[in-house]
Amino acid sequence: MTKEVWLTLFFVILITFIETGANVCLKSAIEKLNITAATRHQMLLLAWRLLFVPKVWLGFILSLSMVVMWVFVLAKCDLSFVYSLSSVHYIFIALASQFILKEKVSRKRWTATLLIALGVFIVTLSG
Amino acid sequence: MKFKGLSLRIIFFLVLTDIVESVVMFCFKKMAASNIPAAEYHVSGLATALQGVITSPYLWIFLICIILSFVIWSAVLSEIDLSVAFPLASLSFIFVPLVSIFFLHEHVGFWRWLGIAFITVGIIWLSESTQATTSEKS
Repeated sequence: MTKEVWLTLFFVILITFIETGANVCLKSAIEKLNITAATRHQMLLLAWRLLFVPKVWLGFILSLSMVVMWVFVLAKCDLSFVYSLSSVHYIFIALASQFILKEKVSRKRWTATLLIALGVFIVTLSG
Repeated sequence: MKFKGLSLRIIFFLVLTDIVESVVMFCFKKMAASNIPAAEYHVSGLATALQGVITSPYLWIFLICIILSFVIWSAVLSEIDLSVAFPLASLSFIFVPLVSIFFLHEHVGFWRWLGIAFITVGIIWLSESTQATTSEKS
């Protein structure tokens, strides 16, 4: 029982950590291209341009393999427990945004993020 | 600096990404469940499994949804910070219970309401923090 819980925790942290990395790759590539996707045409242009950035492919492969891993973890473990643990993802994203992407994560935004993470934790655990 | 506030369009996109991503998971699960067990026992089973995957309609829905979510998610990230976009995607935790209350007449307990309240306040603060950075930059 305890061993299983630790293993689940390990996998969830690993998956959310790598997913965060994939999102950081994508976001930094978009920042560099500097296209605002306001119209449908611009959206497609942005996606097309992104295909030529190696970092985007890295992120893409990472997140695709995490989808695969996620499905297997969900099949093996208690669903609501796994989902509630995955609320650490919000904290990883906030940390990565602040320290790698250099976004200005104000104290208010941090509070909001933690509140959402807590809310998701409660909702998924009770549901 | 380009516009970094929230709009209804971005929120719509975020909800759409959420839906598309759950379809991706669902399709993968369907493909895995129907084809992968056969591959475990024999090499020739792998070929059959592969054939099954390629001809499966789920594969095509899976691929289309991956491309769709990539296009939409990139568009969202081109307009707002990652530290806003990601937590905002938790809007589905509010929508799903509300839909189940009003349309399916499902019972929602105290803890669930509390969680929903936390998420709602979090999202409001999050959107306020975005407006603050927008006015600083412009």
